[in-house]
Amino acid sequence: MSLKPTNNPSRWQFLALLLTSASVLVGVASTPVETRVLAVLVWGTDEAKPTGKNLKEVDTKLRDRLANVFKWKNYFEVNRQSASLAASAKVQCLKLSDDCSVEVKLLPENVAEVKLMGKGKPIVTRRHSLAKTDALVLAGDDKNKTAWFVVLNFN
Amino acid sequence: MNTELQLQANLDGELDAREVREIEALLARDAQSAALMQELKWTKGAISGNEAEVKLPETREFYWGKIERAIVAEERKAAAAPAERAWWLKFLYPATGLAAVVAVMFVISGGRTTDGADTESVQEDVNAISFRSEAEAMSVVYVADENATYSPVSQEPTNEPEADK
Repeated sequence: MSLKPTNNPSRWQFLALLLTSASVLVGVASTPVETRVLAVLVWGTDEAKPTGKNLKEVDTKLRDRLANVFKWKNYFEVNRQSASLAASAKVQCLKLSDDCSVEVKLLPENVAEVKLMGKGKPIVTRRHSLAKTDALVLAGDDKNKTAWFVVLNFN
Repeated sequence: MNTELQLQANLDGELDAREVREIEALLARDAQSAALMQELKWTKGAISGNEAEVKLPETREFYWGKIERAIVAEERKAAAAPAERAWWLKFLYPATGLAAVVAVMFVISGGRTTDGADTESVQEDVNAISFRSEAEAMSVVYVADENATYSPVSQEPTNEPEADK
C-alpha cells in the first residue's frame, strides 16, 4: 500500500469528521440512561367510590387498560410514588401504604427486579425486562371481592 | 468605374477590347495612372511569385482516415473509462462502518436489548399466576387469595410522603 500523501485533503477531513462523529455517538451510547420508575397503588371494585376515603379515580387511560384485562368496573388510585434507579444496583423502596411497599433495583442486562413487600414480608419478586415498554402489574385479591394493583411503569 | 478599378481590371484581363484601348490611351497621356499601373503590376507579381505552396504529405483519403481513426479511438477510450460513482456511494462505506461501530458499542454498553428475562418468585403458600397482555402492553403477576388475607389498600401510608417526586 502506498503511503503517498494525496492531493485531496477533503478525504482526510471527512475521515476526521467521521471519527469524531463516531466518538460522540459511542459516548452517547455508552452513557447509562437514567431509568425512572413510577409505582401506583390502585384499588379495583365493582362498587361506587366509598365515602370517607381519600381515593380518586385513576386516569382514563389506565382505567381502560386495567378494565380491558381485569373484571372490575371501577379503579381508584390510593397512592403513587416515583424514583430514579441508578445502575449501581442500589435498592429503591417505594412505600405505597402502611402494608405495601415495593423495592426496585436495576440488574445487569437491562433488567429490573421488583419485590413487593406486604407487612414486611416479600410476597412477589419479579424480574422484569426493560427491553419492552410493558407496564408491570402486581395484583391480588382483596376483601369483599375487590382487588389491589401495583402498576409500575419504567422509562 | 473609377480609374483605379479600371486599371486593376485591365491588369486582371477582365476588360474588353474597347476598354483596353481606352486604358492604354489613358496610360499614354497620364503619367500618374501609368505609375499606378506599374505599381499594381509589381504587387501582383510579388504576390503570385512568393505565395507559399502547401502540399499534403499524404493522400487526401489517408489524411481523413487518420482523423477518423483518432475519433474512433477517443470514443473507445471514453466508453472504457469507468463511470463516475454516484456521490452517495462515497459515503456508503464510511456510513456502513459507522453504523457497525455504533451497533457494537450499543450492545456493549447494555442497550435495551434484553428480552425474555421476565421471571417471578413467590412464597410457597402464595398462589400466583402471571400473564402478559399484548394489547395493553402489560405484564401481570396476580396473587390469588380467596380469603384476602392481604389488603394493601386498607390504609394509606401515614409516615413520610413520596420518596422522590
